[in-house]
Amino acid sequence: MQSDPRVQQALAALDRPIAEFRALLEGALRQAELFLAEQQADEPARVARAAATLGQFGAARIDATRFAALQPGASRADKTSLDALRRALDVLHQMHARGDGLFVAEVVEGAKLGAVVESALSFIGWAFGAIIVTDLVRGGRYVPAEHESLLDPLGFGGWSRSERRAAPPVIVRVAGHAVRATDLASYADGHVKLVLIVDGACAPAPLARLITPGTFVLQTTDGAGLDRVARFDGPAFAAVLPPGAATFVHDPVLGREPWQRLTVTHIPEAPKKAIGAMSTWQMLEELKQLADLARTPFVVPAAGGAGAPAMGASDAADRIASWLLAQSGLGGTT
Amino acid sequence: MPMLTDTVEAPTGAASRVRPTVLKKREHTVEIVSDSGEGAQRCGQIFGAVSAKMGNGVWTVEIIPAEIQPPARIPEGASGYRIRVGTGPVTNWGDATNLALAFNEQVLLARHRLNALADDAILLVEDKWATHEDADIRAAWVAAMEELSTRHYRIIPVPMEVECLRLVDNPRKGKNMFALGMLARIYGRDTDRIKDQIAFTFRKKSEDVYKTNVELFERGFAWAEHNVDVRIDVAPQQSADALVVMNGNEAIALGAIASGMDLCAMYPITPATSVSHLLSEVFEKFGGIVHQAEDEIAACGVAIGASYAGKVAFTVTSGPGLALKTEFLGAAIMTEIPLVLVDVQRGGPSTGLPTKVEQSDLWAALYASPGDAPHIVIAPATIEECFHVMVTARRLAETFRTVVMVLSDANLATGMTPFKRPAPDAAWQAAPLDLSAVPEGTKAYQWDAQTGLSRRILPGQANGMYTLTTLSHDEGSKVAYSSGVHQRSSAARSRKLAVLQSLLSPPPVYGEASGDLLVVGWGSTKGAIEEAVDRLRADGLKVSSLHLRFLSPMEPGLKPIFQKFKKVVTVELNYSDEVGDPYVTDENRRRGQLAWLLRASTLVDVDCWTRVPGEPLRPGSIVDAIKDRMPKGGAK
Repeated sequence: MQSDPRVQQALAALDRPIAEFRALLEGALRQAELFLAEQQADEPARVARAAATLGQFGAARIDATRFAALQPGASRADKTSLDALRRALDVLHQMHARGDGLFVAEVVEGAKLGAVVESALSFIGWAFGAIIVTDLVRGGRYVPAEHESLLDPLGFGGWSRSERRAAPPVIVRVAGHAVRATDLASYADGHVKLVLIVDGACAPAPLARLITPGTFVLQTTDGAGLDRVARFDGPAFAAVLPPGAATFVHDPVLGREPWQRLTVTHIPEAPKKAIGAMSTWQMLEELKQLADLARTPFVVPAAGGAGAPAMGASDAADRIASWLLAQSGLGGTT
Repeated sequence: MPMLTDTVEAPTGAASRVRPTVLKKREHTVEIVSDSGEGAQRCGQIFGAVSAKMGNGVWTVEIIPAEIQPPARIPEGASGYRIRVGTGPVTNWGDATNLALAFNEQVLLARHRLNALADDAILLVEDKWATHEDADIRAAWVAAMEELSTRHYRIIPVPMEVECLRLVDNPRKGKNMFALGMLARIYGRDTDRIKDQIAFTFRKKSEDVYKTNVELFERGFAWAEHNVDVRIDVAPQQSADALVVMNGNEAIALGAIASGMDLCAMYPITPATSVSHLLSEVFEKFGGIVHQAEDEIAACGVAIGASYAGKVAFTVTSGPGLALKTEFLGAAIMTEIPLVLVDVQRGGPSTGLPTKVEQSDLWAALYASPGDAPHIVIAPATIEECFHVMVTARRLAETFRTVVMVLSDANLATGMTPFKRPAPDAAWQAAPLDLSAVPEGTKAYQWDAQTGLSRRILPGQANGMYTLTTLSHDEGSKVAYSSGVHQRSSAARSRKLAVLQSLLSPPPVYGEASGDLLVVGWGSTKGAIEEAVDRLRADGLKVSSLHLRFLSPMEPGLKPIFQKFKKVVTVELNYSDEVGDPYVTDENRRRGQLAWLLRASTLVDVDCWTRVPGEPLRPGSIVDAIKDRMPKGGAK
């Protein structure tokens, strides 16, 4: 699955948020391993470690035994806490060992997109609990009755605000007929970024229903724009769709109004037949939604032109404003 | 080793190949000089890198004019690269150049006037100036040749421009590769490696640029094949160890990455900037960031701020930048925020000699900031140490909660040499400190009564909240002006240096442990000093040397070492008054910066020999100076 060039393209485009999550994971791992090593180390091991930290230049000139004695010792943890720490480390190691696989999922035939996304995020959420456990143990604050459940997978609904902001991207390969926007809407929060790699017949604008003022939404057929998903400071959805699908980008930073934020580059004809559970009416409705959101409320008349209330002017005030602009001779100068 | 064959078209005027004389040498020094912007340095860098990769010992030095773009064809504008190549390790740039390749006679004249050329040097020089349409230029050529003829040089005119014009329209952008080809033929360099190095050098340019440069290289190679009757054979020696080749600034950058640094905050300044150039290309891949601040002061502040927040940060600068950072350095020392500062020294004071080497920042580095501001100062002595010192500097900064200054210099920064490939250890990158909650009631500066050390607390660490202040403060970081508190806190900050000194081993003596004269040095002069000591000992003189790395605190046990010698002399690249100069007496004589320190800390009458030539010290000059200073009865 990871060998799919589209998945590779998405991984490359999202390398920054992926690297940020990895740094979080690795930082916690390093701290926890260091603590555990110090719990287990005898004096010679501590000295050897101190010498190693000094590097070649320092070790040749500095007495490592006495240098080791200057290092603050770690607080002692009880057996229960150390067991919890080891389990947390197991979790973090498992995540680390998955490499890019941690950020890629697949919807197999018969499975639901929402369930796969939930499962991937829930597994990732396990890391947050494990990180908290390592911190609690190192601080001597681990209480089994209170904290043991942190070592279970954590569904997205249980993620805190900061965990949602630390969420890594997830790339999901899915068959076109299984793509349902409603499966994804509840993940629009924090920095969650979901990228669908879609195979086979698919509704032409399946992500149109996810457009909300603060959510970045991208439909592409060649992967263009995925780098913007990575850069966006908020939740984002993207789909790499088969050729012929609608292509658009909704970038919340581009303006206050929907037509300012949304750029539609292609709207196809609505399919004549249902695709999966999507009826032709539903698919047409998504295309209309897209067109409506993208429509400029008025067209600025050409300079000197008669001007006329623009197509799409949504209310009386807009129509009057448009007409006044045309009459004042200032058309085209805005 | 792959070599070019006769398949390359014979160059102009090449009737037949000359039968060359092969000179077998254990070492040879070559330099390429041109006007600024003609690419002599790039040519030299490639030649040096390839020689090192082939297994030769190499030490390179940049020849840089004081101005960025001086006028063309003036001696002061000489820009180039000097490479000392040896069969064994090479630790310094040596005394004189044996073969020079010049793009005009004026830059060659500059090297001649600086006594940079051996008396029997072979000089290859672009000959188009001899027949130039401008009569003044022709006259200058004649005058230069006359001046050069006062020595026993062998001058070989080279039609570089004519040859290059056969391949390119603008030979100014190609002569350096033609020159590289000539040197490759004369020194028997591996042409495949050179082409690889050309590809690496022009990796950001187009394929056409690479091809043109290779064609120019091949043309130069073929020209030398047919027209130069001498070959220099400095046999390479394969090392059992895997080696790397780099300059000191690259070593500092890679050492910073290997040591787990997170942030380099800097403002561009010669000769330190290239540390950040390399980091800008690669640091992010390792999770690091280069922050180019709006000025030197801000760069220091950013590094301190990052360190305060728990990151591992360093800043890089040179003399004028160090001057600007003094207030912030005091802040880091007062607040006990770890910071590594690398000072790549150049000539001073003020903007001084931006491109030239000097060791004149020692005092500025030691005293750093108004008020009593104890901190650590370390000086790597080799390019290899530039890498490893960063690991130690980081660890000491964190353990002792203070500023660690690393004093490099322009000689290390731009010189290139091979050394054993470092084997990074995960322990170097260990997380700086345990971020778990501190025990309730923990104070920000819980100074240990014996060591002055205290646990570092980061903002946000549970139970560790405190108000940071650069004002005098007590253990809880509460502003306190009382004499008792200031005395106590000053003692804690100072005690840390005594603790570090107690951990240090006395420095080893190079040569016999006792004798007539001990040379003491620090920083990049190590190779030249030890080569001088070897020569002096070969002459039967009882001379040894000692090289310091820790300058604050000073390495222990110096006085007993000094007492085993009749005389102790520092050799330094900074200014000192000469005995016998007008008005200079033993009482008012300003001595070398290290000499002052040693006199103060050991009460031994340490003499000095120092120079500020704007270039590295030559072993031969040190030999002469030491012979002059040998105690009476000490000479053979």
